[in-house]
Amino acid sequence: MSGPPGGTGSPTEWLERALLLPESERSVFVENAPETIRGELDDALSTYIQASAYLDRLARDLHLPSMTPVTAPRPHLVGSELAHFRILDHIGDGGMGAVYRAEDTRLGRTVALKLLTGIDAPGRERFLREAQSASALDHPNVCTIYEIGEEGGHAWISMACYEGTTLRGLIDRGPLDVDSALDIAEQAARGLGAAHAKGIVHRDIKPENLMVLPDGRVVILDFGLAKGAAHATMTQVGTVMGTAAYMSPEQASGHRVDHRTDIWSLGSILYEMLAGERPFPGAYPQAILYGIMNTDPEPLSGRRAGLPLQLVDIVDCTLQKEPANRFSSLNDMVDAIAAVRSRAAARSEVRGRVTAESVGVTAESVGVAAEPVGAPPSGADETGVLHLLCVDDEPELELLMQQRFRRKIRAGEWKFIFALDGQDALNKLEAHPETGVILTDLNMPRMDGLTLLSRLAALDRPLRTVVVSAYGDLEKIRTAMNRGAFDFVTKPIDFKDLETTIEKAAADLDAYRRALRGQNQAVSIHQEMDVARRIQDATLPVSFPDGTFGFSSPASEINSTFYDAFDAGAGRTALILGEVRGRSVTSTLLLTMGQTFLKGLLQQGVELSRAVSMLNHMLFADDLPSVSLQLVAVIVDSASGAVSYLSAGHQDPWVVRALGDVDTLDGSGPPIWEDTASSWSVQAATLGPGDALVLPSAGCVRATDRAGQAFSVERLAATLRDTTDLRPTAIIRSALRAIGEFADGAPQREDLTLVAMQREA
Amino acid sequence: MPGPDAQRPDHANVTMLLNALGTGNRRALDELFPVVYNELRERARQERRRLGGHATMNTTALVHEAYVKLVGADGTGPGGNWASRAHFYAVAAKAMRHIFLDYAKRKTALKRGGNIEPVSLVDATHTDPSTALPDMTLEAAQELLRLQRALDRLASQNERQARVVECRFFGGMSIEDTAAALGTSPATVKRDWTNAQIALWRLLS
Repeated sequence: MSGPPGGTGSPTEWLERALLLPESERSVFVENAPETIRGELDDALSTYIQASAYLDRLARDLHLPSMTPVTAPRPHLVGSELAHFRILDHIGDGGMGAVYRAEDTRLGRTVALKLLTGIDAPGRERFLREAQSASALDHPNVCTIYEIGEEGGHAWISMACYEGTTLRGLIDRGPLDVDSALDIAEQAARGLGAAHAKGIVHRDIKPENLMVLPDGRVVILDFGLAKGAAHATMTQVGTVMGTAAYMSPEQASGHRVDHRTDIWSLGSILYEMLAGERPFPGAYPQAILYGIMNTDPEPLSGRRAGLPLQLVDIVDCTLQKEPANRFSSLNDMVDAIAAVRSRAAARSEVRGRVTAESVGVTAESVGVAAEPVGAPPSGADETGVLHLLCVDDEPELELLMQQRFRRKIRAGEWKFIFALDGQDALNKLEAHPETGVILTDLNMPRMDGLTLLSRLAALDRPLRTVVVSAYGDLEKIRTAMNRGAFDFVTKPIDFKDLETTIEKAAADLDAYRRALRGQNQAVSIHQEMDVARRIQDATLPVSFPDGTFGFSSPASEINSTFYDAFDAGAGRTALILGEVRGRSVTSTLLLTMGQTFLKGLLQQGVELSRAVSMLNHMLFADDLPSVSLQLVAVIVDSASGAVSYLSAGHQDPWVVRALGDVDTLDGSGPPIWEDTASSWSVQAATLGPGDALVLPSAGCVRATDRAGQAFSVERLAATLRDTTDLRPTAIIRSALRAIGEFADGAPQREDLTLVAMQREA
Repeated sequence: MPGPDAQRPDHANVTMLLNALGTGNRRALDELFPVVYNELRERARQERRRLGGHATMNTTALVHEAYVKLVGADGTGPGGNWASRAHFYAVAAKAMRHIFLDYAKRKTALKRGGNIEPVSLVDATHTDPSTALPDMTLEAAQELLRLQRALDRLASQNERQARVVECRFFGGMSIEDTAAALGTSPATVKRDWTNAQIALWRLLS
């Protein structure tokens, strides 16, 4: 131990001695200092580290020479052998030592070898102890540690060697698309959560420490630096933690840290992935640290428009100064991210980028545009020519396409352009706005196909991408589909199959473009509507109880609907569907409030008519402009099939009998929020085994075709009667399909919303 | 003040002033400072012209060359002893600090859109000091002004610590050179340097 003799001395003397030690040994040194000065020493050391970093940075910016002595040169290890490793090359310098790529000569595999050089016994012991605890983590999102050992004065750790890019590299290319950002954050959260469960806090989570592999997997590096949570102190700030930018406030101010410091850091990274900038910018560490401790970040929603509200909330929740106000565990954060992702998937289902497997319905197929789209359809080619962009680094694809599809080319049906990699493809797209369908390889130099897909999604252009890949790449294909690929074909290419796939993509694109045109003819949409839509979106259900389903295809400004299906306790299931005239932030907020209120009451077992009366009074109690609220609510007892229902000025619910009959349940209560004295009565019906119940919004019946004719109750009845599959997803799909075929691309002004359930047969 | 080329520097005079400074004559500094300031700035300007706007300034070499020019070759000139060289370096570090300060002030004044004040300590007729220094961002200039203010406050608390910062940061001097220039031991300089950084950081916060 290298403390002052006899363990005495002023804090300044202790500090000087601490500064003489290698950075990795300082924390042990501080822990061995007398109790009376340890706090002061800790503080002085961290202040010194920040101060010297600041002066160095300023010197660099002023083009002055650095005053920090250059650290001892790395020993020339490349080419040499250590234990059973042959050191191949130097990969980088981590917090506690250099990292090399090495060959494990015993097992014949390539590993990443981390070496700690020139360190004394206690420091080495701690290093190995930490590595040992990290090696206990067996998780796909945590770097795998193979072996730990010592040889010739070097403590070493051999780890899995990953080929990929760090998240820093991705962020430096610009903000990530929401899905990729969420995917990366969720994976990192899972890995960190596993570490926390074993009492290991990383304490240095930053984009440089997150590796993104080509298959999309995220691996957290540098767990060797984590200290056991119980020993966490400030001593290593600035030494181990090169980057101040991702430090939590408690870490920056030198307080004790626990697992929640990692939650903050991960939140900072998520913010940066989405905004393209760190939450606490600053040219100097001092400014950054000040920001972290004292200021609120610029709201994420202001940095990037159109983010789901819950996502903004997640980031907010991680960036709380007070650890107690953050997520209490990463599991909670994972759950929150997963909820946003499944909602985002549901939304892109509506948007038609991904085939909605659950319902098989896309907005295109019902002939409405799902949401306001700012940009005009840029790719529309009025002459009927399909413009294809082929992206492959192998020139043979070009020749094959030209040869196999020469008839189409000669007939002027298809036109090809070619690009050599993702970057080239983006450039070509810029020059060819008429491009509709893209065929892309996945493995390419410069920019691969997966990155290209992410970039395409960010372009927000009507495009359909077909991935061309080898069978072995199933994992990549899955990732590609998640990133919005329309379909895929495998190599060797079956050209008949490829032709069909391209035609399918082109048809899908046509439907989408028609919908867009419809949208553009509609009244221009105020930005407020987008806010309203997002509020509404955030409260619509993501998952449904067994045997129920709901779907909404929001249209335009005329109305807004809400729907829900939930377990009302005591073996009962509740379905509600409501709508208000006019879509504004106010009406949407009230609708949302009403929905939550009603759901809460019903779940507490409040009787249906009483719950609706209470909702009516609650709405009147608020001094707000009155909007008439129409609602239908149904409660079904699963065991007996007994139905109690209530209609408040809304379309009646439909019952589709297993035997083929279709009828409506008549109800006739007044709309809510018209009169405080209104009252409602509950009516009863029975659902037989296998019978289905469908609640359509008024927009379903009033959907219009090009001639302005309404779909009508009769057509809806006929559709339901013709439906043989009464499962809720199937019944909703067939209704939306019928409406879509009827509308034939005509713009719709009302939400198409349906909730359905089927009693077990 | 005549331009640097208008008159050959008087080695003997500079040496005399350095010696006077060594005996604690503060007025010697007032006479010596403008000479060193102009010499350094002229050398810096030549250096910048040679290396472009982004290269790191080799302040150590700059100061040494200025010393050779003003005092005599390698300190072997008439008064070129080791002590006067040390004193010279301390003055040079202060001069460098002011060159930077003047530039930072001009830079921020320009950005504010106001008139360029004659901020040079030496002579308002001199050319823009920015032509002598590598490019500086506005943020760096502003930060430099903050540091200078903090350094002034540090000087009122602990003069020696502030001079250590001057030598190390602006003069690019080693611990040993700083010790010689300030007439103290390397151990003391080391401690001062550590404590000065901590004190500066706290003054800045």
